[in-house]
Amino acid sequence: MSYLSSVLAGVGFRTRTPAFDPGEEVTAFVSGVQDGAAVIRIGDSRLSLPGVEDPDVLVDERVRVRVEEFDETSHSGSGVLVEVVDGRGL
Amino acid sequence: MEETESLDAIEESDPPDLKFYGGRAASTVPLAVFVAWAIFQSGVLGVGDTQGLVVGMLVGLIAGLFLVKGSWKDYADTIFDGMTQRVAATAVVAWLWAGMFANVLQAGQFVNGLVWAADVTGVAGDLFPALTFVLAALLATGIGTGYGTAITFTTVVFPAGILLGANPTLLFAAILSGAVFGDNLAPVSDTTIVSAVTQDADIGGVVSSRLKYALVAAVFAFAAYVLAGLSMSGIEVTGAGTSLAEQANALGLVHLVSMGVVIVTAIQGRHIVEAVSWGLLTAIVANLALGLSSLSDIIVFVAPAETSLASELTWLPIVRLAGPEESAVVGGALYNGAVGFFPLIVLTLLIVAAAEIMIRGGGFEAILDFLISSVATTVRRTELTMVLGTALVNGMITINTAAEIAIAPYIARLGGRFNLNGYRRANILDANTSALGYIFPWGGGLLAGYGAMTSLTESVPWFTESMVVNPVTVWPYVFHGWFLVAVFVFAAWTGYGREYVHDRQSAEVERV
Repeated sequence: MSYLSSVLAGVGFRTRTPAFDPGEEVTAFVSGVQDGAAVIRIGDSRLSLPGVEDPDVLVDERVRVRVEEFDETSHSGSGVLVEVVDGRGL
Repeated sequence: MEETESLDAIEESDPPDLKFYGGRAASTVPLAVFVAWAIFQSGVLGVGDTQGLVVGMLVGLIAGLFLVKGSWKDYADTIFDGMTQRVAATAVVAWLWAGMFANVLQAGQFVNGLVWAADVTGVAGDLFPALTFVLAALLATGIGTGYGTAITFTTVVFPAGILLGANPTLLFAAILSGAVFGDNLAPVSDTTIVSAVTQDADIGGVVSSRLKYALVAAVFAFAAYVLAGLSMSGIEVTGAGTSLAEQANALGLVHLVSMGVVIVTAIQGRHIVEAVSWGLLTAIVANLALGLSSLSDIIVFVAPAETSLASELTWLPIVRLAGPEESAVVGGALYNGAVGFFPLIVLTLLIVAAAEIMIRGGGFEAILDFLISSVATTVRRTELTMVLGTALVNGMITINTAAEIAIAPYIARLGGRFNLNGYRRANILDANTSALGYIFPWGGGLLAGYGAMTSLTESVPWFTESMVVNPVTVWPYVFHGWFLVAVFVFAAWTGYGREYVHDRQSAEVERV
């Protein structure tokens, strides 16, 4: 990334509810656990990761997930865990 | 055998938590007593005596002792642990070195050089605060210490501005604003480094990503200093050496080189102690070579006349005998520069001790737990909580680097749970830490400048006690600090500059 682009990155107004496309891979911290599934809050949008065993251990870990579905009206969706990025959690 | 094992276990375990009658909130008593004392002493009575504040902090620490449940020894040990933290030592070193450097520049007529430059360029007193803000910001960004900048500028630029007719309160605030700018932006600033490391982001990326906030605030602050400068008048200065024509001396500007030496060595990555020492040496050589000051202006031993050994050593340029009404002392710029900070150093060490008591007693955690569970429920509210929480902690722990270290893990957790990326978290943390450390009347940065100002009554003949600016009157005018906080409140509310983890991942910090 050039110096100028790192200065200009983030200039502008970012939404509180980012949207995702199915199939998109995103990196994020796991925010908590709800109804037995790990939940990622990205701003006020939510991605749940159903089917992960022992989701409590994932909280505050940095993970890569693949988005399965996302509803732009409720700003929520679900995804599958691709990997846990070791050593870079909160 | 068993006893040995248990002893080992104790040594390896974390320091003990402190328990108080009245629960976690009671651990805030030492600091609360101090803040109440400070408000009564300097706010209500208008007494700015730092040594009085030292007694206030001591009384607070003793008051807290009586509320401790269990061993009082743990409480006492916590005071020691707090006082021996590295950040406290860092602030002490910055004050001592900057104090010596600034006083040598002053002895070398740097003030007179500035007066000359202002006269030649036609900068009148009303524009002087705005110009001072820019110059202080440049120095602080170069050397990375806002405290050092506050001390240097208050010692040398402040008297020049008063002579030119600038309003003292506004001018002092402009210096503090420049210090805020540098603390926030300088890559070598302690607060910048702490903000990057604790939020798992690279320092270069953090600095370049914060220009979009810092420059917006600086533009508003500059305009505010121009407008306020035009409407706030200066004070009448009388007495020896107050005529501008007598004061102007172009040679004094040689100390731009002394400051340049500090800035260049600091930017090259040398330790601030080394950078300032080189600047100090340059300034002393310039003073002596150009006849700007004598050696005895820099350091002098005034010996009692009756000591026969002393009378034989008066041929040395740094020894002279005391006059009939004079006491035997050590003096000169090096001495005044360092000694002026002794009360502030003691006060600061005691304040960080009281803050440590609050941390181990759970008072700090109680406040943050409340914020996390009941206030930070949406991303907007979370960012506002991060801004205001950082402000609150800086009000309690007055060395801004220490405050930043204390709140950093909470900022990581709060922001991380909403997937705000490392740069954004580091920026919220650092901007508000930098700003508030110079706004609260008991903040370390403000007191550093105030300490330098009180020592002007010793070193500048026409500068009287009545010209010293009361810390309590300065806070509304630290415009860059206020605008920086305002920019972040705006940014939290509107999403200006917000970046999520998946937008742009911060590079890993290079750990040494």
